[in-house]
Amino acid sequence: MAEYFALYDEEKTDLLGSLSALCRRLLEAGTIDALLVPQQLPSSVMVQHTLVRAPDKLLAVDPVAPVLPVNGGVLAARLTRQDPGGKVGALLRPCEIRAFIELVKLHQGDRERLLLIGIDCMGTFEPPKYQAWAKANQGASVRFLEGMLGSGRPPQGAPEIRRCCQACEFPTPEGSDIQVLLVGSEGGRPSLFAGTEVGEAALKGLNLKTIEAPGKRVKAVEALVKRRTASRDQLFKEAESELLPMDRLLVELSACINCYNCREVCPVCYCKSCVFEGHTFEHPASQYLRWAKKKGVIKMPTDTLFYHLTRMAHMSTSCVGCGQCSSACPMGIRVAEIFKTVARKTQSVFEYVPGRDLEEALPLTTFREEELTPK
Amino acid sequence: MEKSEHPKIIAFLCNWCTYAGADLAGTARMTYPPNVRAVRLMCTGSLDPMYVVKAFLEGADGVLIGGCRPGDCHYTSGNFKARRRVTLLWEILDAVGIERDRLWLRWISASEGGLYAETIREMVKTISAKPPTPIQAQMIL
Repeated sequence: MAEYFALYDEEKTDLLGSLSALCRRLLEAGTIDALLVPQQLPSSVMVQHTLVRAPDKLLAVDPVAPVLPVNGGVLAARLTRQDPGGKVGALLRPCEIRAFIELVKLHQGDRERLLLIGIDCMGTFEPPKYQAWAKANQGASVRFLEGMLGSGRPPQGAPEIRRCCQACEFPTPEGSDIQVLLVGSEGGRPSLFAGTEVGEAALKGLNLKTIEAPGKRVKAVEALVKRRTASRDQLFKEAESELLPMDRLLVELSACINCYNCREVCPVCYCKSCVFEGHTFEHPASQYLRWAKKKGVIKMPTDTLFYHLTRMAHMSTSCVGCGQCSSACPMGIRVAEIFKTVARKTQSVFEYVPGRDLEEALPLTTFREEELTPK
Repeated sequence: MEKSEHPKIIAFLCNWCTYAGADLAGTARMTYPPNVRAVRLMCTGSLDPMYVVKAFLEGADGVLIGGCRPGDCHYTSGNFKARRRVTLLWEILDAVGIERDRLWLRWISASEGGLYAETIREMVKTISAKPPTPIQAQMIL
């Protein structure tokens, strides 16, 4: 167990080409029948998840492009919830992997049915900003990666990394079968790590060259996590002083238009029909007048604060902090900052880290007889 | 009785224990403040946290969740699950400025009418001493 393999062939030394070759070999060797992998779409700079079966359709594999239009954890769950009729692999970022693990616990996907390939994540830009920047810059994703691995900053002129990515203390693909290690690589040559026996068997099947563990990695990851954690703590501090408690929260939510985009893009909001879509809170007209009478005035539509607080109650213990909610908000509300800050409290009270371990039960599905004793 | 409107307390009571306890308090003619509005549930374990949130948004000053004593749950473990949800709610409500001592979880059995009356007295006393919740002055629901 725990073996390292070379990503680069003798002759090949470019990252995207080598990743593409890895994907192709996994498909050609029959290790997997289909692969979920981010690719640049034809005639566009946009990178999206694609599901590839034909190896010759691995046209522009790019899992390091700093953009995440959709959290792929949801897609991986969708591909494994029922028997997909073949072996599926997915190349995902850490926040996507952790979302997938949460979805498996919520019975929305199946870990056993997926060959999970994870990759170190250096963060992402807001998708429209990525698009504009990538259009103007050839080889944008590799340049971005070089900047991040070198100076720790995006290259000059690039957009800012999303706040949630800056504050993400999980840059490495823990728990995945095959791990693409970019941070702390020897001589800039990334390596592959078999995180599980399944991953080891898959990599051995490709006859890749085994190598020594990248010696600089532990320290480099430590330093990266330390930087991210400091940024995360800064985010918490800002949220506590700008977004919480009630009066500040309502100033931020005063722009909310009840579009529910934050829920739509949330990877762990999995309900087929949300309680806010059904009849439960379809109030009779007279109810609005009663509320307005009681308070003198109410903002319309109602159920804005109620919706956000309910979502905190329903999903914050599983929040992986991917920040999709903030990116999707058309009004620029710092949804993720609010949720990440509250989620830290709801998760730590149960000593729960979402996406860490399949064996860790969701906090609200379990209990101990002796705990949290009320008066 | 105008004054007794504050504080307003919503009580979610389990059918098998605390609701029966509240009933016993009534039939035994025990007195307790009239500030509480009881909602009967089959089990505290069936209470979605959003209804506690809703109670506060609709102007409640306090919420009581009353269930069976540990080991006595009619459905084996609903009360233990309720305890986890209350713990979750304490974190969320506290973060938005609704203090923990506004949400009470108490185990009161069907035979404990006295304890129910005493709990309501104690809760009304505690919450009477507090200012209105930060939601009540807001127009965003």
